[in-house]
Parts: sequence; structure tokens; C-alpha cells
Amino acid sequence: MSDVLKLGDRNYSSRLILGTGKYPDFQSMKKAHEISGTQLVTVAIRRIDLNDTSAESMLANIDRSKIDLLPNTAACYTAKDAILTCELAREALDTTLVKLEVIGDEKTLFPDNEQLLEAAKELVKQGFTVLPYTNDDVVVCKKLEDIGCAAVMPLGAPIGSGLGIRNPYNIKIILEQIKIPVIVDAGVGTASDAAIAMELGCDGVLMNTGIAGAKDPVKMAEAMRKAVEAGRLAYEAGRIEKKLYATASSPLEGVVGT
Amino acid sequence: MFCSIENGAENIPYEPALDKASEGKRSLFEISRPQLHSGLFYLQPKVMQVFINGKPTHLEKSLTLEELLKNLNINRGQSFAIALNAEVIAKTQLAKTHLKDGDTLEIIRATAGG
Repeated sequence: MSDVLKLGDRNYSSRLILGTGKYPDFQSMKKAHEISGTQLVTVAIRRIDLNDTSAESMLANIDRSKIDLLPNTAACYTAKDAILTCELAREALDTTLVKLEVIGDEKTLFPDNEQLLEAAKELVKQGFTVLPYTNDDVVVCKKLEDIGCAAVMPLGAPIGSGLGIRNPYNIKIILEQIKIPVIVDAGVGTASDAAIAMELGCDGVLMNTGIAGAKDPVKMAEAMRKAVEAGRLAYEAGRIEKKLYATASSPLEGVVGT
Repeated sequence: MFCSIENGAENIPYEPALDKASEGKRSLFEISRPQLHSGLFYLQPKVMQVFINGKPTHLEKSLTLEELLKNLNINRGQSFAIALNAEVIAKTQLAKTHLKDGDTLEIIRATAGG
């Protein structure tokens, strides 16, 4: 069992990956990142508004000495768009790390697996460190692993839904069959969701809305840090079995009055 | 559209005479200096159309990508990248890459997202 999260040639001691979207302001985003201990945050790649080309303050509120950027291909519906977005991200940010999203449906934001696999193949060929957002489906995860992705990132529930780990059994199957890191990405709503993911044996958790959308994002970021640490420790500690009936914890001999 | 001139003719830029209908309007075409040896001179369109971030933009002459960024007030210190006709152009090549009529550009930056 590794005590760091290995993604490509990068090593991270924090197993909590955050986003930069939907925070009430960049100040709270910066504080949330700090208190969470995250070392990797996602960013989106978007057209510059030609009517206002002044530098955004978002990047200025990320401590690049402690935190790496993970560009995503959010809202790409085709492999072609996702690949171009990654190539642009590499040039803009001087990184080969990418969170590959190829969306298949507007309402659920579930991935289009056919296009996802096509994009992943091309990006791996180009030398990117590909972290693909995918279903909690071991068949697709195996194909992504075989293609050469650096990790698989199965969703716990739809992006931003806060429903937690809807199918822990699927995640458990993926963890048994896949050798590269497994990171739950999407659906985490509160601390226990993150802890459950880590207790199952996941290598990390990626979340955005769960923190950014909380009433107190900074407090939730702290909760998530503790949840990921607690879940990982519990997994490493080796839990007891689940039993239908009781097994007493105190000795049965020498009870007073017998 | 080509016009021939005799060898040895003076090197005079040709200005088309404007009739009353086009009085006050600028000529659509600029005519470059004639090349004496070939005896030919060319008409060049003054206006180019390129597409930047999905919007058509008219340019009076061909710019390099470096010049375009300066015109758009995008400075090198920001995170940005450019794709020209779906090919990413390295920052080292921006000053050497010229725009042509019909080119499509994507100019992007990193922004907040999950």
C-alpha cells in the first residue's frame, strides 16, 4: 500500500483533489484550498472574452508553489473537442496532466464512453497524463487502464448532485480489478461520503460542489480533509467483519450475582 | 485581376477615378506597386475576415498572432493559448505566424471550474 498518491510521474501526499468552480468568491476558494491541504485543483479551459481580456484573478488566488493545476475538458461532447482542449491546456499551463471529460448527456452529465476511449487513446499517445472521468463501470475502467491512463475516476453520483457513493459495490469491484489509482470523482456531498470512498479502498477523492456549494466552504473543506484522512486510516487499519448477531465485548465469567 | 503595362513604364501607383456615385467612399481595393520585370501588377483585398472565438472579425491587413494579441490587450504574463485552424501554435511561433483570410482562431485561458 503506497502512502502517496502516484499520478503519472507526480506524487501527492494529499489524497483530496479539489475544484475551483462555483465558490462565492476567490478569497473563500483560496482559504478552502489551504485548509483542505489539497495539492491538486482542477481548472476549466475557456475562450477569453474579447470584450474584457484583462487577467482573471482566479489563478492569482492559487498558491502554485503548493498546488498543481489539473485542466479539465468540461462540457466537451466529442473526442475532437476534448483533444484540442487538452492541447491548448498543455500550451497555456505547461502541464501534461489532464482530467478528461467527454460528456454524453446534458442532464446527467454522464460520460460518452465511446468518445472518451477514443480521446484517451490519442491523448496517451501524445504523452499526456490522462485522468478520465468515467462511470462506475469496471468494463470501461479496464479499457481505460489498458489504453494507458494514469488513473480512473469513476463517479459516485452525478456531478454536483451531492448524492454520495450511490453504488459502493461497483466501486469495490473496480478497486479489485484495476491496478492503477482509483479516484472517486463527482457526487460527494458531505464528509461521510468522502470517508466511505476512502474506506472502500479508493486512492483519492475529487470534489468541487460538495465544498464550494456548502454554506461554509472553508469549514467543509476542513471536514473533507479530516474525512479523507480518517477513511484512509480506517482502510489501512483493517475493519472488523459485519455480523448478523451480537458478540459480547466483555468476559462472560465472574459476573456479579451469578 | 491582372493588368499589363509596358516595360520601362513609370512606377506610379494607380488610383481608380471615383465617379459621383462612390464620392467620399474609400476604394475597396488597394493596388500594390507594379513589378517591372513581370509586367504585371495585382489587386489585393483590403479587408480580411477571420473568426476569433466563434465571432467574425475584419482585419485591414494580415497580422502576425503576436500583433493580434497586442491589439486584443492579451499580455504574455497571463495564462493563454491559441489554436489556429484547430492546431495549437506554440508561444515561440506567435511572431512568425501570419493570419490569412478565412482563418479560425481559438484563444483560451484557464478559468474557474470543477
